[in-house]
Amino acid sequence: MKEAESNPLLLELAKDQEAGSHPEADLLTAFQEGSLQAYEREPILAHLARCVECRKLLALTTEAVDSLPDMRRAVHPVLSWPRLRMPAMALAASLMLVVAIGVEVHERRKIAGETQISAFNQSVKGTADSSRLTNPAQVSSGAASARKAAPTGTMTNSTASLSSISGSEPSAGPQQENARLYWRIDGNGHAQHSSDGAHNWMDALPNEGLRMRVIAVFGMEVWIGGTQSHLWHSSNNGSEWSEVTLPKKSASHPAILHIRSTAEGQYTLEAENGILWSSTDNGRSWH
Amino acid sequence: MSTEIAQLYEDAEAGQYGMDVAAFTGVVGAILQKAAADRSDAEQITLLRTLHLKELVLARACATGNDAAWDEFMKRFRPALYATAVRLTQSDAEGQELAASLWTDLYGLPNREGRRVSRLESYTGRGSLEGWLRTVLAQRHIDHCRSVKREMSFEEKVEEGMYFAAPEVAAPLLPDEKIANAVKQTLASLDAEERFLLAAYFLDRKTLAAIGRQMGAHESTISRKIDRLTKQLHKKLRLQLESNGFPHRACEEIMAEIDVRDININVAATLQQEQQTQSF
Repeated sequence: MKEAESNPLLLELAKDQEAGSHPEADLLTAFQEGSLQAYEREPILAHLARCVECRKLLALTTEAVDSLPDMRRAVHPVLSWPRLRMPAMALAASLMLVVAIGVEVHERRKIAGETQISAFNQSVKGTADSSRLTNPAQVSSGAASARKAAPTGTMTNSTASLSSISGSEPSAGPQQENARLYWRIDGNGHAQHSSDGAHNWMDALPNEGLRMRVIAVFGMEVWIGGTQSHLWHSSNNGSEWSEVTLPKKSASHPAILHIRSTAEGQYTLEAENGILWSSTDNGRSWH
Repeated sequence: MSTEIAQLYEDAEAGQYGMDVAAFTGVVGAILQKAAADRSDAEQITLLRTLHLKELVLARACATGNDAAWDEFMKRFRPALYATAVRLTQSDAEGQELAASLWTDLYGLPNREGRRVSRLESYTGRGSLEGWLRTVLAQRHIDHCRSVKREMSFEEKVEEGMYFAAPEVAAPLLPDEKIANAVKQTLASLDAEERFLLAAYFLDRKTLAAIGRQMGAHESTISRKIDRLTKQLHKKLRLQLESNGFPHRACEEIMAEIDVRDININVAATLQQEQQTQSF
């Protein structure tokens, strides 16, 4: 790539880096967390596009959050099993809040595996650092609450090349291996679960010919997203399901690829075309 | 609207910190006035529902000096605040100093009338309280670095660290004003998100993953958007040149000279590079 100085497009972009008054910290935070309304997000984006100062601030806070032991951050859907090293995996299984699964391109699969491990390692480092500065009891209390909030996730691979499996359980333990509920999306795009140690699988949802793309488990809350913007929700670990109708935001019905929880009862969905939906009332309403 | 606010008051459990309905109504009313005064009732209600109400109530109760609120606030946010400060400064000592300085502001200093004014009064619940604390802390860190930039500028400091390196771009004159105009018009035709993506990716040299985290989107989504954007940019610029009167052959020559492909990206290579630099 040539240096930026030689590219007129970049020169013009750089010349235009003068913006008006900066958005308040609260709005910038809300932008980063995806909780702004569309009519609010546009002016913030327009400002950010022209304000290197605010982009620096945004970058700095984003970097900072990556290092903190907050396991409620976004977890991306595809986990690449070969890249998950076992020691890290064992630790991750004890802390991970969310395991979201999806089927996506090979390229994304490689990225997500690295990202997960990196974020996890950084979180552990953050915990260690903070313990030197704060009351150790508070830190361990935080970790304990994270564990409490976070169902232990266990991942394995199915024989189908495009399927992934996740396990969720209220409490981990070898003696409870068979009680653990496993989740996967099989090669046909069916969301399935297993309660016998991932030996036998049952379809979780009525087979409507749709391909599911992502499963996300947050304690007893299970969300499944798929093609045609279909979203299913269970609040009792998959015993009962209800289909959720999302407000239409585009002419097409894009597939849902990512489901994240940013805080208790708060969710964000991301479709393949980048459209986002969010809910702050445990999924009762979406905007 | 009043029914809605009454319900939100219940949801926010504001009573536990002694905030009555009238005070709560005043707080959310001020937020609405500032953020959505010209919006419909439905949009205002939607906005109210997105507020982090419990954290808003907690922050405002702290600002008024409620002891129970302070206990809760310290229990929930103090460790994260100090951890973030250490992360930002890359130093235990500087981190503690940074966090302590913000902590003082959060507790509040007396104004001319003797009333204690807490920084928490400016929190409006739009984002999470923890996120707001991080942003305020980061801003304070930037300000501090700039205030002592004779010793080391903020830019130098971050370049030493792992945050980012946003090289300033010199702006020599373009050889042809018509080309410059075409470029300007092409960039002006982009929407806010497209311009943000270009600036973050090509000027700030942020990674796809970093941009994705800033926008609350997956890096592969950002990758697709940037890929699409650079292709559109190429087409738009060619069309703009033609509409500015350049014949086809001249357009070809100009495009070769400008070489828009320079800002195109090899997604696989970029992602590979990203993995290498992000691993730790």
